[in-house]
Amino acid sequence: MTVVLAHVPNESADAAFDAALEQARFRGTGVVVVNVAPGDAPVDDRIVPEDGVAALTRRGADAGVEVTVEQPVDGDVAGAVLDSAKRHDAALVVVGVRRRSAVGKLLMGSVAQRIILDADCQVLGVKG
Amino acid sequence: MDLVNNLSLGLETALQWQNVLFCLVGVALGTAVGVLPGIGPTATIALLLPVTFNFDSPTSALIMLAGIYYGAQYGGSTTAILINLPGESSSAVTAIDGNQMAKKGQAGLALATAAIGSFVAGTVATLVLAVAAPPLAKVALTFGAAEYFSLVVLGLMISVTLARGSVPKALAMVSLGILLGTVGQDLNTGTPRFTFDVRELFEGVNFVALAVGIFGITEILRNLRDPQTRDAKLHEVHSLWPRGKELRAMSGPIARGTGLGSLMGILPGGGHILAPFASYAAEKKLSRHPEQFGHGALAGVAGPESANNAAAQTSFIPLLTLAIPANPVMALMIGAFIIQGITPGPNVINEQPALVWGLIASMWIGNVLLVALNLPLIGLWVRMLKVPYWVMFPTIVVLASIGTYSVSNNPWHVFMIAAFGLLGFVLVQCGCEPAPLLLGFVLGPLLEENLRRAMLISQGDPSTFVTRPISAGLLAVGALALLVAVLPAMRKKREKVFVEED
Amino acid sequence: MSAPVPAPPPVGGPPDDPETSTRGDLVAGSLLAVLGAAFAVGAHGYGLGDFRTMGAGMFPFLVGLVLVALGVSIALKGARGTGELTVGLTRIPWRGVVCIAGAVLLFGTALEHLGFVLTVALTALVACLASPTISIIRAALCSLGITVACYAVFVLGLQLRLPLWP
Repeated sequence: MTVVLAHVPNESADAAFDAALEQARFRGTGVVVVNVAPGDAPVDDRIVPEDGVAALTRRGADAGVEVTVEQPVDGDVAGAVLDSAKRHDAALVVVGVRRRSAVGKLLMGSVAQRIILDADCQVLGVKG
Repeated sequence: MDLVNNLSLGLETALQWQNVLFCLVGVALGTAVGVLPGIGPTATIALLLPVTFNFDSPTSALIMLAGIYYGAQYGGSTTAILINLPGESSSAVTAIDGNQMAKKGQAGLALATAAIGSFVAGTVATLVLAVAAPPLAKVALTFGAAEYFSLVVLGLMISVTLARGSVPKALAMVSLGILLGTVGQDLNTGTPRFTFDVRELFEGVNFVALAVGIFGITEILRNLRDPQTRDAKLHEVHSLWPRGKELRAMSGPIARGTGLGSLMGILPGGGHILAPFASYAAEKKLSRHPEQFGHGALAGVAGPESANNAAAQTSFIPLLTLAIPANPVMALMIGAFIIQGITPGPNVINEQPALVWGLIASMWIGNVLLVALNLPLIGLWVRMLKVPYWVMFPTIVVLASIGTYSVSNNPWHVFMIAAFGLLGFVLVQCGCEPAPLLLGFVLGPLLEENLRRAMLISQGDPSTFVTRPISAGLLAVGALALLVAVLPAMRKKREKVFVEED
Repeated sequence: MSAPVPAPPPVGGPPDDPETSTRGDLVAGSLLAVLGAAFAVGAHGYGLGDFRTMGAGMFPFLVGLVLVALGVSIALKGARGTGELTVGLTRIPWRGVVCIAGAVLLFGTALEHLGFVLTVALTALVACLASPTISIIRAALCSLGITVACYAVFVLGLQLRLPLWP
């Protein structure tokens, strides 16, 4: 049983990470941070760089929670998060949500929405 | 002073404002496309070649192509250093230590070192080219059919030696390339070969279509299978200009890299691929701190980058004097020469002095423009990499199709892109390299023509190739190169240069 | 992330990739041998001549035989499991293969009938669909952008003489 965090470096990321840590401490488990690279450009700022990964682990250690980071390359971001949740037998999936414009929703679809609808466990949506 | 006269004629041509402009546009375009992963100089030139077809002056067209070539080379180094994403095999060496330097906060120094090394090497190698080309052209005029045949064989053998993967596969790719080169009407007898009675195939397989297919399309398909993505964290670029201590530290590697590269660039068959690897190995061996290599050694950037650029320059020598392309990029240049109505070879240098010397001088100017253009624009080039694949791939496909079609308004050439793209994908996934195939394709007709002519002269006696001293010498070197590639000890050493860095 | 990969861009996958096998050698070798044989058989029909005056078929015939020999030796190694480890034909991106090749073929077929603008738009659209994650709206926008850019560069800029409309 773990807490799985769908992590994208954006404005809600910090709040979501803190929420995940809190939940993990409460449940006495670790956090698996899933940072999916959609792999649709040669470089991508949605991927957490090496030192960013180190910072996440350190913040986990400070809070007394074991943080592991997974960085799969998968065009289906929500699917990759759900896969990971299933693999780790997650008790909870934490996902950051943002306010989106109507056009933005039309173009991009919502990763958070798919996770909420398709996850087999509880899902916690955190607003940034 | 012939040399001075020649160079001043060249500078006069190259410094005409429109030629400077074309060179600048070429450098900018080349860098922009060259930074894209998998699109190395060969694919860049193949994609941009058609842009130059509509020019009135062949000199301007070739100067722009030369600019594209340098731009593509340097673009590969930039992304190799900044995000460890080498665009092509020769900048893979730069990525080893260059990216480590960037991680230590020395990105600016690494980029400046690459630029300075390239510039010094380019300048020296341009002089080498200017000095060596005329006498070599004279030697070339004494070559008979047998010598030409043996020289082509030597070039092909070297390209086999340098290919990664197994030697039989590289040999097979060369053979397949030669066979593709025989499609179309036989020059001696007029018999149409392998044309299936399709009139559009009489002029043979189109070179641009082949290059775009097996380099461009194959690379797109490979990327769709295994998307390459890196984090976008740009290592901050500051303190661009190196200090005295660093300048001293890089001078030795730059000098050695320039020497090595100039020599290897002349070798037909792709010496420019080997030059940066050889330079890296040499610097590592000579260094007092070999343990620093792989962890951000300045010499590991300076040497290979210089060697790379010097070789890029001197690989024009066999092209201009013998009409033998030293590598696939030069093969594309030959294609460009022919499309512009110029037959490359020893006579060009006498018949078209303004063109040849203008090209040589523009190489140097291209190097100046590279330094001037690239250091301030690094941010822009890197932003090119954020263009998503779903924009990049369709753009490349459309550009490749329009470009290939516009060469001769022949839809069959466009169909060939798809066919060679698929063939290339299957073969490359199975460990065969495309470069020897392209070289075999370009050199195949030369090989056949000279073989037939030599056999006719010798009354059907194949010993003519080993009884004529120059021919025998060339064949011996070719055999030696192949032997070296096959020997297991040597193969292990080739791999070892890289494995240690892990 | 960002593993320090110093080696030249890998041909096939890394050696410890579970997908790699020597099957690729079998595929490549057989393919090359078949191609070589086809060339050799075809060349035979063009007249070999003799070594003094070679016919049109002699040179491709000989090279074709060489290719057959090399192909067979590569394929045998692959079959015995002593060949090179490559990813071979595992996980073929079928969607990409069909869309990219289809786009190119479409361009060659359509240009003379539909004209430059429509052909470029269609080609770009089909090629866009090669990316497995793209939405149809994005693909359409992307295709529109490419068409406008190509029009600007090739028609307005380079004055390429092509039929623009059907």
